[in-house]
Amino acid sequence: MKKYLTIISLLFYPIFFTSCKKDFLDVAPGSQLSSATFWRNADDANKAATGVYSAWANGHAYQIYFADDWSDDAIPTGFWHFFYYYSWGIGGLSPQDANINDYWSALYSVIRSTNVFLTNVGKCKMDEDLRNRLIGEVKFIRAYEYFLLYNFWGEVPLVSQPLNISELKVARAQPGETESFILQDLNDAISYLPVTPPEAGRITKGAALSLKARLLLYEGKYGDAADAAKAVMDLNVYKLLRTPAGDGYYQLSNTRQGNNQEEILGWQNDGVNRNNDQVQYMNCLTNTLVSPTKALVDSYDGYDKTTDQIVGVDESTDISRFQNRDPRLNFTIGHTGSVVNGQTLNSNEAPLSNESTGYGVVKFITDEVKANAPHFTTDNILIRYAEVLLTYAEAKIESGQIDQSVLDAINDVRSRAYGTTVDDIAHYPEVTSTDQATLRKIVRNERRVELAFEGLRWFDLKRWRIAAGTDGTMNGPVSGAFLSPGNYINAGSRALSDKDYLRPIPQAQVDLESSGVLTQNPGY
Amino acid sequence: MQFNALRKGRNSSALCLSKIFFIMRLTTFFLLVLVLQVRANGFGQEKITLSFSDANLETVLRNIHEQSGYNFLYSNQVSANSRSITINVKNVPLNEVLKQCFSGQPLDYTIIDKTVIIKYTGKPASQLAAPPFTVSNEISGIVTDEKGDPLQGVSVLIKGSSFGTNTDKNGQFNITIPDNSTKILVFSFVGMVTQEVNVTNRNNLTIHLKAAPSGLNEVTVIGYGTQKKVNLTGSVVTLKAAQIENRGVANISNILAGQAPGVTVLQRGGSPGRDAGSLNIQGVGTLGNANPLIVVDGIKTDNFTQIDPNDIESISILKDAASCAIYGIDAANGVILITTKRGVKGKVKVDYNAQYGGSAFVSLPKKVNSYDLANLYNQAQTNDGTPASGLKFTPEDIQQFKDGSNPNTHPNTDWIKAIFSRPGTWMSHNLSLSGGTDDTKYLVSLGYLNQDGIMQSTGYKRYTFRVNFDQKISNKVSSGFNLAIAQRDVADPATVLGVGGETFYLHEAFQQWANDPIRTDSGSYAYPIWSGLNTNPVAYTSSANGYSKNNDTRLTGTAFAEYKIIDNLNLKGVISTTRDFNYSSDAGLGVDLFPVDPVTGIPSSTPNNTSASMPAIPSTTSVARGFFKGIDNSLQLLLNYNNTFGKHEIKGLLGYEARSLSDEIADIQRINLSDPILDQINAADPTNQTTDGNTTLYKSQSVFGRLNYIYGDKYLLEVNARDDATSRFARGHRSAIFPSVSAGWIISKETFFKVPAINTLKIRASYGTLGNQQINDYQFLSTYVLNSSYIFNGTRSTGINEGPLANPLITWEKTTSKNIGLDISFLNNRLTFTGDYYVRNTANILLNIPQPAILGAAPPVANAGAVRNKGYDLIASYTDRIGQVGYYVNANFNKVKNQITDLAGTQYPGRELGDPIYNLYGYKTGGIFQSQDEINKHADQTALGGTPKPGDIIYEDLNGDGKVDAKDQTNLGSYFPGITYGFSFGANYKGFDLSTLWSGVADVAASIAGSRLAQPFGDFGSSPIEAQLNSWTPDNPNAKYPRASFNASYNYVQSSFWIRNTSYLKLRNIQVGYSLPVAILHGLKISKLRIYVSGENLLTFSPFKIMDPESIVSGDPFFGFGGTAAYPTTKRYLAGLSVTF
Repeated sequence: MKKYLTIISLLFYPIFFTSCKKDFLDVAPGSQLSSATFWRNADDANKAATGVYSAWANGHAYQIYFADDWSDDAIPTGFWHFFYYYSWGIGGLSPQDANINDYWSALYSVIRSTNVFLTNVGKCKMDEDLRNRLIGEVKFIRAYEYFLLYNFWGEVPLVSQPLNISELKVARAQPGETESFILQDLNDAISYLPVTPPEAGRITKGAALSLKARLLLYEGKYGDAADAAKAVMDLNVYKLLRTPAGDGYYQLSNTRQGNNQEEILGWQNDGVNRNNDQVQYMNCLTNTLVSPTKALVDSYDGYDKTTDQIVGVDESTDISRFQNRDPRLNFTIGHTGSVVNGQTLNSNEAPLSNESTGYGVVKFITDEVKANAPHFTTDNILIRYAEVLLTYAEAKIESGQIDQSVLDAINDVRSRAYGTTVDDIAHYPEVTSTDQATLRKIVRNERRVELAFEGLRWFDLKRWRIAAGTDGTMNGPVSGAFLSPGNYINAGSRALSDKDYLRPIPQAQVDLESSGVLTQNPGY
Repeated sequence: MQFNALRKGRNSSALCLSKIFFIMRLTTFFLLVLVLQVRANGFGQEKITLSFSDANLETVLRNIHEQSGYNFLYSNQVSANSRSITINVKNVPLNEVLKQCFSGQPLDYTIIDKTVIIKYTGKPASQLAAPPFTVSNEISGIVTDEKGDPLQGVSVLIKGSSFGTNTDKNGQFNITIPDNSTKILVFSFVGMVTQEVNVTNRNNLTIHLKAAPSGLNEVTVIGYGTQKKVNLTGSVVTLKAAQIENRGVANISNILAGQAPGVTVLQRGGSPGRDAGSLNIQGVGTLGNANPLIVVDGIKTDNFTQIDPNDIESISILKDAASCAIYGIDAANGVILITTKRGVKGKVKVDYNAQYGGSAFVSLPKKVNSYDLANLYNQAQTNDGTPASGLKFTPEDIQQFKDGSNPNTHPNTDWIKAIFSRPGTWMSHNLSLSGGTDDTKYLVSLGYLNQDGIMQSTGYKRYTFRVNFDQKISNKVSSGFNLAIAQRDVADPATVLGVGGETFYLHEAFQQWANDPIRTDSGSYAYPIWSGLNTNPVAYTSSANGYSKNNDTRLTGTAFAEYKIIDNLNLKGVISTTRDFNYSSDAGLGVDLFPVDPVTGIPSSTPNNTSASMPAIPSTTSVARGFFKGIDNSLQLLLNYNNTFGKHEIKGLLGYEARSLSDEIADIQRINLSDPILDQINAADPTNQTTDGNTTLYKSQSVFGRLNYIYGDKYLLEVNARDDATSRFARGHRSAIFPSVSAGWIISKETFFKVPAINTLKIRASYGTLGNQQINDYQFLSTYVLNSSYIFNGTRSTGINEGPLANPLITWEKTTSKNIGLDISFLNNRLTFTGDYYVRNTANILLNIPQPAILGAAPPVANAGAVRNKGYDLIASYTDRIGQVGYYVNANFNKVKNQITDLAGTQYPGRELGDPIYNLYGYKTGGIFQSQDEINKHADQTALGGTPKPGDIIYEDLNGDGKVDAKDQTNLGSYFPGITYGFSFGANYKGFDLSTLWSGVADVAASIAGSRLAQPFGDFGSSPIEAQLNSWTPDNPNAKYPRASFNASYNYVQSSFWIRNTSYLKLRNIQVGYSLPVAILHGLKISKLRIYVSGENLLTFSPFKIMDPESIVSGDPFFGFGGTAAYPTTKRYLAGLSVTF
């Protein structure tokens, strides 16, 4: 018997052997770093910051491309009606909408990555200036995300640490808190960031100042807004893109790696690791997600360059409507008679016939699109100098400080649109009025046509409170392309009310944070 | 005693009768010999299965003749001098059987041409010292079953002799017993317990035979061993080879459908090579991963798609905790044990199976024709307020679609037919060689399957090779190995830059409009004219667009050795490795689509390459390669003890198991091939290449034991325990013990049990705990991952982000299972019945509980939530014979009620405690608004996304707060069936056989909300289906669909309006076969040849008519078709041949 016991023991030796080897089950992840071994040095800090950039640019980029569907400038075609790009734009967004929950979640997901960085970067042994610069970049990104949350939902839960699951009952901020939080981050960023980026694509002081100007303008803090915009102008590194051919406005879409001085901030693309999807989605040759409305077409000035006069629009035919107009109209909107890459478009034929309005966006048909390139490597411009100039002008107009600098700012933008310089007043309809009401009207329309399809129109409608209600711009039928005199394509109808100025807090979030913590916006 | 016998033996009439009997016997044999005399060379390799005790030679030989076709020639001298035979062999070659039969007999035999000539050696056997017939007693009587019904054909033998007779149709018999023989008669009958009766002093008998418990000696494969079926205390269901072979089904899971109670198989798609149905045992037991554990030849594995069903000997499905607990780790959702065939002693046996056939889709929605589409489109536009002048289709267009006068611009294309009408050819071959000696046994099998898809560029090929080898080394040591190699090649349409592939093109295929042509009149692929779509799936799935291939090689090697320490103690060691090598290759070449002028029909000379879905086809070509390596190593040590002390039978098992699983992947992609003919990485532009790769590792370690105790063959007890530890949890949370206990009582063996109708009655009960850890690796560890990048200065920089949120506290998910079972058989075991009632409670479910989004990350896995499954399984089978027609009926039924019992506070309206896991929730509907007045009176529905109009769906305000919103949602049913059932019946007559297998589900629903089956022109403008022509208009108030509209998305939210009953009953398989008579085969050196025709999935009965109800799941309506299993399910027609040499 003893013999057998020995044999059994021997054969079971591997059990004891492996059991004693306690670390048999301690497997180290082969493709990941553990939290204990990260945050060591400048290299880790740099990579983590890059991770934040990546999260930011990937997290919700498409929301910006489609944002004009929520305005009076565009309406998506039927295929996209499942999404809230449509329902919000017609005044039908429900708190249960899954897409809006996704957007809310996407923004907080980017915010977490900024918080993880800001909480841990102090552990790295590294150059203090580099650390501060990276902190500045990441704080800007956090500010950018809260800016979106704030403008879409109002006061939101402020999260400035990476939370764990026991810390998730955070109420919405008190009035003013969200704005202060954003301003604090932006001011930190402004103090830490350099004027010129160490690499193309890095966030700069100019970007932080510009976002600050945008926020203050939206808040109606015109004096501060004008100061921030002026600070950008005084950096003396930005100017509008002008080309010898006079198509500088259109050539903006070919900006690559920040190679023009008008771009203040833009997401970078190399076509493979990051593709410029804006070109894909905002391009009437391939997509019908954003169909321009007749209302937008109507907002462009009629201008006779031979007489240098603002003129009426010839409504008699489809083609005549687009003649003698602000050049930005034809740079932006495809219509019957537009020639794109040698192809003459027609509202009755594909691709325009696929659009709900019969119009399409041509603003982002880049050289790469024309060359049938496989990838789009141009920048997604988020902030450009023209906006800063118009912000400056509007802020000064609203605060009653109307001076030559205001007219210069508007005329700078306007003259570039007409392919000329500010001084060449014979070739563009320069602004000369100093009347506040007149100028207000001019600068508002200038923003609309200059920044069309750059995702900013809704914020303007909201702060000017001109979208909702029976006399709002987003009420009643939406018209599209010309059918016959006085007869236009019907592309749907809208009925926005005051509640629509803010989005509903996603019902799922109200429920998850347990009742009462996250209050719903009025009207939902 | 002797005196009495002597006296009776002098009865003269008895002598006469026995003479007649003898003459009859002889005549029969000569006739038999004459009839079956055919020329053949017997090798004696035919497999024989016999079970006789004290049978006479004649009976045995007759049986061998029936099985092998061998004829026996002998004189009455031979039969008179033969001894009775006791033999019990299974699948043993004829030579061996004969050796056994004739050992110790005073007989010699010679085999000539399949005829066995038997001679009397003249040496009388000691037991037969005296010549027969001298003195005899005559005995008569009647033999009945337990109920008293007479039994015909019962063998009545004098114990220790070869003399005997059979009962007649009245169950009566007469036999004369020689004086000098024993006075014991042996009564035996198939399916009955053999009885011995002492007839001393008796001449008239009434014998009641008891039914033998069905499959008394049948052995069932269980965890780490086998168990006699009769001694099972757990809930185990077994499928034999016959139920697995000869099906036109590539995947084992689909073979299981309808064959085992409590096993729910749902085949959602028919993609060749990827059509395995989901498998659940006794319902869905957890909110997490509910897949059962798969064990092949004792080795845990991840799936069984690599196995040729022809290689399978049996499949055991372990259902309750008692059966599964020995696998504690991962066994919470049941265990599927697959045992492959092995060699048996005997000369080489060659089996060959071949099938050839074709496939077609089961059922797809009928798309509207171009004329109806144009009208419906205009109707939707009109509903949305478009004036007549703005309608998409002019009256002239509509006229042209109607009369087909202009097929270039106004065609009526049947896209479904164009895409899914390939013959789907099916071809399979399996060749196996097996045999062995006492010491060495082997089986070698080769398999090949070629399955073409019904969609172009899709298909599946499987090559399998298996060697199972057993070698006895000494009386103490035996060993062996299994080696299996499987190669699986799956072909898909091309993927270009990661876009495309099968499911994507299917998505396109179903949205295409009948109004758009496939080709221009010059033969090139056409760009859509009318739909506004920019795709042409016929073009994209063609080989011109490139290819996408997946080649999977799996190599499994297992070696084992067994050492008999002492007689009752056995030690077994097993080492095994499974290596997976996966290689995927893609080349995207792009296809040009040419626009057609909608007026003239003239195709453009330049292609339109603008496609939202396929970026820049065809100017970009791409090539991609992917590599995957998986290594799964395991080690087992098993110590088995087995002993019987009087009425006590004890079996014990002690085991150790360790497993390690590692994966590694690498991918590379480049674009712009220098020439489309060169499809290799080096032929493409390196500037924009992308690469990726990563690795994972998982380990587990377990010690387990089992003790079986049986007392008096009546009382059964089993205790299991397993201590498991896994690398998926942090130290301190890693290990857990999973115990179980089960007991059984075979009541029918009790002396007090006197119910003649019941042959066997067993009750059993079990209780135990099981574990589940099927989550991703490293979830307890905080990590940082390199999964991101950003572009600075135009070049890529690598970014690092926080990994998935960790939860260091996670530990085992535990399932506690209770089971009560009953096994009963009637009518001489012709009717058997098994029933099980179970309650399974799963708690601490490993779940990503939804967390508020301000967390900013996917919620970490936590132990939360609980689920209860209650249900019962029933299985019944009946086998009988009417004249020459044999038949069987098997039926099984499972009903399970699934309830969430804890959701860690995350429940919400529509998904509450008490709801099933796979529940559908949404609004209750009250039909369609017929007027504005109705709308005004109804609760406000605008929260759903718009102001309703007449023709829109009415939603009920369940909570009565005056508005319809998310709080009014409720449970609308479950898409996991509550009832699963199957039945099969078959018959055979002479060489013909017929079998059918049916399976079905009930108490199941699907939601078509948001899908193309609900909204016309929904989902990116897809083509409507015919049913949608019945949309609401003021003239059609009783329509089945709401008004057509491009805007009213609120009509398509999930509601009872879109819930469909998707229960079904399917004819899974029907087979008609013919086995050639043995007489003919002798000349061909073939021992068995069967030809058959077979059909898979030929019939479906369901209240859901639009498409195959099995394939519809409620899923993402935007991608895939009615769900994620986009490829249509298929039916198949086959002809097959099965031959044994």
